[in-house]
Amino acid sequence: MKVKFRVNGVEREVDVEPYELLADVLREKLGLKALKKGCWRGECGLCTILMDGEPVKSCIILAVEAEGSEIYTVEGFSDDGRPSPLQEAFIRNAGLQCGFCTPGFIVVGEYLARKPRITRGEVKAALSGTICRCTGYKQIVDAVIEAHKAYSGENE
Amino acid sequence: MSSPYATLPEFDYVRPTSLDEALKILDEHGENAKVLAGGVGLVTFMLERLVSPKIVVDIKRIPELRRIEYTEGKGLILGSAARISEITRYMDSNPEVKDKYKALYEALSRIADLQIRNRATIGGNICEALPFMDSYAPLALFDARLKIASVSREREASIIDFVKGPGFLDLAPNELLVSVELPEPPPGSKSGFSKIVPAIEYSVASVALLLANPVDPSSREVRIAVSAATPTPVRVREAEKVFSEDGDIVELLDKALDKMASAIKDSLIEDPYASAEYRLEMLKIQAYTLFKRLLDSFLEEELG
Repeated sequence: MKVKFRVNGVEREVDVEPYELLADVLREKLGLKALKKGCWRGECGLCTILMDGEPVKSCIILAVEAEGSEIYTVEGFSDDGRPSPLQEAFIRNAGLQCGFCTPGFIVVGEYLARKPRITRGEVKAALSGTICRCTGYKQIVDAVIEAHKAYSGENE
Repeated sequence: MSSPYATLPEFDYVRPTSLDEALKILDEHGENAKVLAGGVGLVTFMLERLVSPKIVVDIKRIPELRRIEYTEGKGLILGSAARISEITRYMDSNPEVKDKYKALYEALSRIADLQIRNRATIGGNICEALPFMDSYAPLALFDARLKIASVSREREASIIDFVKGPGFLDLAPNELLVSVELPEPPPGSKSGFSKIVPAIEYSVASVALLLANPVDPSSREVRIAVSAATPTPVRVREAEKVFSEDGDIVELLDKALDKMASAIKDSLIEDPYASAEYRLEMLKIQAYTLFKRLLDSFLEEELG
């Protein structure tokens, strides 16, 4: 089956089997290897993408379901290799150690940091579907809050 | 939970755009077809090889099944493929609807996590048929009517009749859950939902409770629904009846909780995650706490 969607701003058409998972198609057929599969069961959140503006877990979505949708992976947030304000905030706050979960956190983080208003509590609750086993979450939450200030033009 | 399977078994995929088309496909393929809505259940079950359908029927592009509508006097209609996050967002932007169906809102807004709520649907939550599904207690509380259709007929069922047991629904292979209709709750009522979620991620005891006219025994109404602690959702009518008696409301509450305990004590789930005794205690504590919370908010309103 042919499936058409926009990925990181570019129109793509891919030939897929109906039983292929979106995460596998993005990684293997479109080469977006920053996207990781951690649990393969919709639990860990490392494969999170933005689909029509909302964070979803691509390891439990069929590629054919994405027909006509607008997708962003972590690759879509940097500007020609320059890190986004959130990615900078992750570096400044040491929001990663091994880095395996980072692509998932960046995608959810970009979604949160670009909201008009967020509270620390909302960020913590919203990150509960993404799992980090080494950094801990404080630095990640700090990075999202800091990026939110940058995106909303607020200076501390 | 992990299994050696990294990929899905092979199947065909169809994406009907009308309800009639979907029903025809289900009628033709019967047991070989599985309905795909949000996929958070079906796709993981297929990965685990718990189900291996020949054909997957994606119902998300059927506009009728995506409805979220509240009509004054008629109530709230949710199409079975309406996403959990769409429903809570609708309620956030319609605060009067959120107030009327607060127990449903509290249950839906705490399902799994952000990403899952963006995919999972109300129909998927209902049809997963596991005891801890978060929609069950609130749907029992609000006397929700489930609309089910096949090519040859349409029918209605309550959540209590629809969920027959863990993994079992009153749903034929050629039938589809079309929508869930929640009638108007009693005027001026307040409701809430509470669950106990240990490290296994699933509730072991969930309670939904509704309270209306607390100070007047003749018009007072209390509804109590439980799930997760029992194999299927239960409306605890034996406990609800207590509140039509005269007397101090807190004493009536104690009596009602005893009635609840005796009504469900023989059907409690006992497993490695939680004992029957623990589940019962958690149901009682949550029902008590919810009742007090709702009662307090009535009293606060009265005192201004």
